[in-house]
Amino acid sequence: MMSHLIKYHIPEVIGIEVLKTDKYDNYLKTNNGEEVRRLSVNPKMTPLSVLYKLVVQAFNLNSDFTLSYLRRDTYELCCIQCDLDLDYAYRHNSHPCLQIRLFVDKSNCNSLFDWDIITTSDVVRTQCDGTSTTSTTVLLINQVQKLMNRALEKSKGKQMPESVTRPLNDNELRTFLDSEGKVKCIRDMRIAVYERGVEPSLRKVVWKHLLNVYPYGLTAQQRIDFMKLKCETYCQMRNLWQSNEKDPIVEQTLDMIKKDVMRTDRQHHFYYGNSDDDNDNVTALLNLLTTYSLNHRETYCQGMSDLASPLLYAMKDESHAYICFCALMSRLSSNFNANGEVMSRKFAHLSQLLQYYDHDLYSYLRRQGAHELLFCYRWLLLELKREFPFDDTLLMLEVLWSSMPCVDMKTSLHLFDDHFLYIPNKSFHLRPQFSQNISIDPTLTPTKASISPLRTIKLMPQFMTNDSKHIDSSQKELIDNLH
Amino acid sequence: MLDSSRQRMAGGQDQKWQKDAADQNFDYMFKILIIGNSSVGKTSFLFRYADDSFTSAFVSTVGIDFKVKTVFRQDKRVKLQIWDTAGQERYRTITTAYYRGAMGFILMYDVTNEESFNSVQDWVTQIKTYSWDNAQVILVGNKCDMEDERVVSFERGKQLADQLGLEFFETSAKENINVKSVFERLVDIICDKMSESLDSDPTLVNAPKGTRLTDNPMPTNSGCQC
Repeated sequence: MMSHLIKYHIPEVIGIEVLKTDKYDNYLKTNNGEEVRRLSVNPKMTPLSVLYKLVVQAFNLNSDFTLSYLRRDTYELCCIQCDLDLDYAYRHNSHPCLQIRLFVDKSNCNSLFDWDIITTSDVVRTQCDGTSTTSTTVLLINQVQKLMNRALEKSKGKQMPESVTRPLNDNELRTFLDSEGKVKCIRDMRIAVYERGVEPSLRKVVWKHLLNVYPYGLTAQQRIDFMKLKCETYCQMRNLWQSNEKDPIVEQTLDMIKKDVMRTDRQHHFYYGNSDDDNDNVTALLNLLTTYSLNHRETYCQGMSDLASPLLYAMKDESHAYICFCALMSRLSSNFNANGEVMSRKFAHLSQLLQYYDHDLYSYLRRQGAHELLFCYRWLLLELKREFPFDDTLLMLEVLWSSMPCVDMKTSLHLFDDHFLYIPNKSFHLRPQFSQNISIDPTLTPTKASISPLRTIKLMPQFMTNDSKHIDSSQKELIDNLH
Repeated sequence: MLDSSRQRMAGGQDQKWQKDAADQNFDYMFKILIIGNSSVGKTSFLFRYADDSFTSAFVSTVGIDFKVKTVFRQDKRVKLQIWDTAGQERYRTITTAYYRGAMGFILMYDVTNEESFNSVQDWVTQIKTYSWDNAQVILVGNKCDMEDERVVSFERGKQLADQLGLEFFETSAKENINVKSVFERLVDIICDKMSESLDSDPTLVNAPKGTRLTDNPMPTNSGCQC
C-alpha cells in the first residue's frame, strides 16, 4: 500500500471536501442544507482509519456512516471501503480537491437519540391526559421493540461492518508487528486470518507465519536474513541431486514424482498444460518435491504434490515454497507413514466426533457398514485440499492453518531429516545415524554448541568454519568413511 | 455420478422409472476393485467405463475412490460398485482394507511400462492374502494404443495370465478399446463362479456372495458397502 503511495507522485497535501447527507444517491448533488466540511490531509499520513477519525470529529458524528468519493472521469460515486480504495482516490481523483460524500446510516445508528422523541414531559402529560394514552403507548412499544431488535443484532454480532469481514490487508498486518517488525502477538494475527482470510497478494508473507516457518521473536530484517540463508541451503541441496541425475535413486525418485506433478492442478492457469516441458512451475514443483523426498525419512508419497502446489502458487518462488513445505510437513508427514498408525488414529478421532455431534448419521453409516469412514481418507490426508476449487482451497487452507495451536519455534526449521541426507556417489547409500539436531544457520539457533558441522560437510562447506572443534574422534572416523 | 450411471443402466426402462428408482433397484451387487501400479491408467479406465469420458488431466488417486454403475447381464440388474485404488506402495494399508468382500479384481499394468508388468505377481499375492478365495481376477494391459512406446508384448501378457490362471485383455481407456468387454467378462465370470459355488456347496446360499443367479430376483442390500 505505502509502496504505491511512494511510487506514484502525489502531493504532500490534499484538500478534501466532505458533504454530509442522510439520503444516499449514486451521484453527487449539492443541496441546500447539506453540511460541508473542508479538510487538508497528508495522504501518506492519512490511511482510512485516520480519515474516519477526522470525519467523525468534523461532523461530531455518533452513528455509523459510509464514505464515497467522486470519480473525476465518470462523475460517479465510489465507495471507500479499504485503504486501496482511498489510495486510488488520492492518486487519481484529488485534483483540484477530493470530493467525498458522507452518508449517515440512521437505520443502524448507535446512539439513542430517536428515543428522545418521548420526553419526560410527554410521559407526565399522558398521565394527566388519558385521551392520548393509546398513541403514546404504541409509540413507546415501537421504540422498545426497535431497541430490542438492535440489541439482539448487536449481541449476535452478525451485522459486522465490512472492515471486519474483508480479508486481512497489509496495513492491518502491520498492526500486529512492532516498530522492528517483530510479531507482537501471533495469536491475534491468527484470529484475524481465521475470521477473514488474507488478501491473495499478502499470502506469501502471512502463510510463513501461519506455518511456523520462523523461529519466535525475529525482527523483519532477521526474517529476511533467515529466508535468505534457508534459500541458499535449499539451492545447494537441489543442485547436489541435479548434478547427479544419473544416480539410480535420483532417477527413480524423479520418475515417481514426475508422474504426479504432471497431473497436479494442471487445469489451473499457474500449472496449465499437458506435458512436463511447457510449464516452469511444474518443473519447480518437481524440483522441490524431489529435494524433499531425497532428504527425508518420509520419502515422496502421492498426495504430497497436492500439498506443495498451493504453497508454490502462493509463494511464486521455488525455494520459499520448499521451506514452507518443510514447515507444513513437519506437522503432516506422519500422515504418510506406511504403517498407517497416524491415519488410523485420525479415523478414530473422526468417528468419535461424529458419534458425538451427529449420532443419527453415525448410526446410519454403521448400518450401512461404512462407520469406519474410510471414504474420508483423502479429506484427512490432504486436509480437504482436493475438495474445493483451487482458489477457494487457498482460503480454506489459511483459515484451517490459522486455527492450529501456535507452535513455539525454539529451534530453527529443518530442511532435511537428521538421518536422511542425500549424499551422492559412493557414500550415498550411507545414511549416517547422528543424534544431534542440526541447524544449518547457526546464528539463529540458541544451542549453538550442539551444532554438528558433520552433516553439512559435503553440502554446505561454508557453514562449518568455527565449529569444527566440536567434532569428536568417532565422528572424525565417520567423516573419513564418508569421503 | 449416480445419475449418469442410472440413465445408462437399463435399456428398455422409461426415464420416469429410472428417476424414481432408488439404489435398491438391482438384483445383485458386485464389489469390484481396480488395482495395479501407479499411473497405469486405473482411474481413466473407470471413467471411460462409467462416464464414457477421457482426459489426460486426471489427478493421482489418493487412498481410494469409487463409482457405481448398474448393468444388465443374464436378465439381471447387477449393480457394480467399482473401487479405484491408489497404486503407490504407501497406500497398501488402506487399499488392502477394501480387498475384503471384493468379488472381482481388475489387475492392471501399462504395456509401455515394464516395471508395472513386473509387479503383477506382487499384486496377485496381495489379492491372495487379503481377499476371499473365490474372487475373480482379470489381467489387463492398458494403453495398448501407444504402440510406439510399447515394451510389453501381447504374447508376454497372455503368457503371464495363463501362468497365473487369469483371463487377459489388452485395453485402451483413451481409444475406448475393450473397456466394456473387461467389465462384462468380469461380471460373467463372477456370476458363473457364484452359481458354481452354490451347486457344489448349498450351504453358501445365505452367504453374502451366494445369491444364486437362478433364484427369483431380490434386492441384496446387505452387500452395500458404501
